[in-house]
Amino acid sequence: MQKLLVANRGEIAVRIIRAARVNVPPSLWERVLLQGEGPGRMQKLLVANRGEIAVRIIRAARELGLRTVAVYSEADRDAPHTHLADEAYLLGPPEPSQSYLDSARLLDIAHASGADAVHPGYGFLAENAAFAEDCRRAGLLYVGPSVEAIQQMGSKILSKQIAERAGVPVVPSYHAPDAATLVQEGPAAAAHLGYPVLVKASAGGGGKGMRIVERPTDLLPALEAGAREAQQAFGDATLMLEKYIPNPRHIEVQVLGDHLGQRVHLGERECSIQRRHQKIVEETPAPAVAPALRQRLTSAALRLAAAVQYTNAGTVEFLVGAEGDFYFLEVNTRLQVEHPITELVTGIDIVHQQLRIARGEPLAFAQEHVQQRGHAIECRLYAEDPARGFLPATGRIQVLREPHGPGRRIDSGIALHQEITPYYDPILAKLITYGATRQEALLRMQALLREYTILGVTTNRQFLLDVMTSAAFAAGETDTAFLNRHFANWQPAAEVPDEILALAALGELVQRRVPFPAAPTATAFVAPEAGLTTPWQRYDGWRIGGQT
Amino acid sequence: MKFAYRRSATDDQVIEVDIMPVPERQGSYRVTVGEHVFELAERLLHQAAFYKEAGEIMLQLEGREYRLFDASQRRRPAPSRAGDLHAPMAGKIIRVLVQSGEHVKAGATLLILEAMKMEQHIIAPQDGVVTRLLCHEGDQVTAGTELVVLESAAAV
Repeated sequence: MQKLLVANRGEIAVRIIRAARVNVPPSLWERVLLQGEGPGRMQKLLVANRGEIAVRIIRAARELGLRTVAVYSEADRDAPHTHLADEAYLLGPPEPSQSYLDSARLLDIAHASGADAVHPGYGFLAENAAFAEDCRRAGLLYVGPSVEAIQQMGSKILSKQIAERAGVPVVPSYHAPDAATLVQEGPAAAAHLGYPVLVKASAGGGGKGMRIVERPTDLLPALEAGAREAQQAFGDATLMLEKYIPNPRHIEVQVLGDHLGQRVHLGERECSIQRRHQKIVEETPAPAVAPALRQRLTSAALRLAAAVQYTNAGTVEFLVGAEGDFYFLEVNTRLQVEHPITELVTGIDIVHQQLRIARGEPLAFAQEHVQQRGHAIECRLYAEDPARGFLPATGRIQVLREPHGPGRRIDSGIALHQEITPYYDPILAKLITYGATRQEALLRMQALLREYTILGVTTNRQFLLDVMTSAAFAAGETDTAFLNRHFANWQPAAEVPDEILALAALGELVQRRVPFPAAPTATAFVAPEAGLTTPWQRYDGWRIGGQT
Repeated sequence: MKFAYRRSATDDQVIEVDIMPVPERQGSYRVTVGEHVFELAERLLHQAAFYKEAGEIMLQLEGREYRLFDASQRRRPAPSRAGDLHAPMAGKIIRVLVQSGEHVKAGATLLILEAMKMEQHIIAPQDGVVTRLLCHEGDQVTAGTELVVLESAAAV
C-alpha cells in the first residue's frame, strides 16, 4: 500500500488521513530525502555533551537502537556519561574551549568513530549555528533545528523582529551594531526605555552576561562586565539593552516540528524560580495559567515556530506580567534542561522525538493527541552554596544515595567518588516528581529532597527542600522575585544539636567495631584516612539495593 | 568510649561525648552529651548518612546536613568567606586589576575569579596597599588559596 484514497469526509476523514500519514506517502519521503535525511540513515549518535544530559541522551538513543559515542575531557575520564556510551573519545584538557567547545575536534571524533549523527544537548555548542552547519557539511545529521532557524532565533534582534511580524508581543529593547556604539548610545537608549533596564548577551541565554541596572551610573560598569562574561560564555561580546519587567512569571512553551511542516506544542512550563537569572525549580502546568492564557501562549509559540519553519524540539520563552500580559523573550533552539516535566505530564519522550525527527520521520501524533495529565515539578541539584551567594562548590562525592520510587525521576550525571571540578556548569542532577495533582507532586518532591543524600560537596539540596516546604511555593506565588522575597538571607540549620553530636559518636563507635569488608570496589577510590567509613557505605548499599 | 567535638572549625568550645552500650538491649547505646543523655538504637544510623575525613564529620539526617569537627585532630584552617583575600572557590583568575604597591580603596575590585562560568570579584575589605600579589591572570587556584596581601594604609 502506497497511496490511500479516503472516501469520506469530516472528522473520520481527518482521523484516517492522520493515521495513514504515520506511513508518509512516497512523494513526501522524496522531499525529505532530498534534504539528505531519511529513516535508516541514523545508526550511530555522537553525544557532544557531558553530565546528566549526556546520560539522558545516550539512554534515549539506545532505546531507539542506535549505537552511541561519548566524548569527555580529562576532568571527566570517570564521569558516568563516559562509561555509559558504547564508545568514548577523549576531547582534550578540562577547559571547555579545549574540550566540549572544540567543534573541529568533535567533528574529527565523529568521523573517526563512524557516527552519522550529533546531538549537542544543552549549553556548550547547542545553539551554535556554525557548529550545526559544520555537522551538516560533514554529512552528519544534526539533532536540532535547521541552521537558519538557529541563526534567526539565536539573534535576539532578528528573533524579535520575526516574532513581531508573527503577531507575538515583544519587550521594548535597544540594540547597537557594536560594543563601542553601545557604550556611546547606551545611556540615552536606557533613559528612553526607562530604568530599570536589563543588560543581556545577544548571543545566548542562561543568565550569562545578564545584569539589571537600576541607575544610570551603574550602566557602563554593567556593560563592561557583561561583555566579558558574554565573550567567555559564547565567544561573542555583543550586548543589548531591554526594558525590565519587574516580577514577571517566566513561562515557556515546548514545541516540536517535523520535516513535513507538522508542528505541535506540548504545553507550558513555569520556570519563575531563579537565582542569578538561572532556573532552579520548574513545574507544569503553570499554577497561574488559566486555559484562556494557555491558549494564547501556545498559539503564539506555534505562530513563531511556523514563521521560521521550525523543526525538531524548541522552547519559546515568555515573560508573563501580573495582568496576564505576555512578551516573547527568546527561543531556545535545543533540548531544554527542564524537558522531563513535560515528558511526565504528556507521556511523550522528547529526546526520542528529537532523534526520530532528525532522521526524517514525521510526527506520529497531532495536537489533539497531546493530553496533559497530572502535575510535574523539577528541582535542579547544583554544586553550589546558597548560604554564600550560590558560589559554586567543588569536592569529591563521598556518600551518594539517589532514592527512586513511584512518581520520582532522577536524571543524574554523577557517581560515588566522582570529583566535582570547577570547569563546567554546576548542575549535578535533576530531581523530578509527578503526581495526579500539584499537591501530590509537591509531597513527593519534599520526600525525595529529604531522602536524596550527597556528602562531600556542598549542594543546594537543603535550600531546595526549604523552598519546596514553604507556604509561598505551596500557594503558587512563583514569580521571578520569589527567591529574593522569601529566601534572600537563607542559611542552613544554625547549630549542630546535641542529638547530632550523639549520633556522630555512635557512628564512630560502630565504624570502629565493624571489621573492614572483604574488598568492595567502592573503597578503591577512598582516601586512606577515609577508609574507615567503608562499613557505612556498605550499610547504605544494603538500604538502597546496592545502588552505591 | 569518649569522643570530643567542636561545632565549627573555629569554635573554641570542645564538647565531650561519652557513649556506652546498654547491656540489656542489644544494639542500643547510652550517649551523654554535656547535661543531656540519649539512648540511641544502632538502626538510626541506617536512616542517616555519615562521613569522616581529615577530622571533619559530615552527617545527614531527616534531610538536614550537619558538619562537626573531631577536637582530637588538628584544626583545619578557617574556611574563607566571600570578601576576604582568599579564593572563595576553586577556579581560574581571569583578571588581575591591581599591581603590587598599589593603593586601593575599600570596595575596589582587586581580582576576578571565575568558576563554572560564574565570575566572583575579590574586593578590598578596607583601604590599603597591595604589598604582595600571589597569583597571575590565567592561574587555576583551589578554594582557600591566598591571592593578595593587603596591608591597611595606616600600617604602611
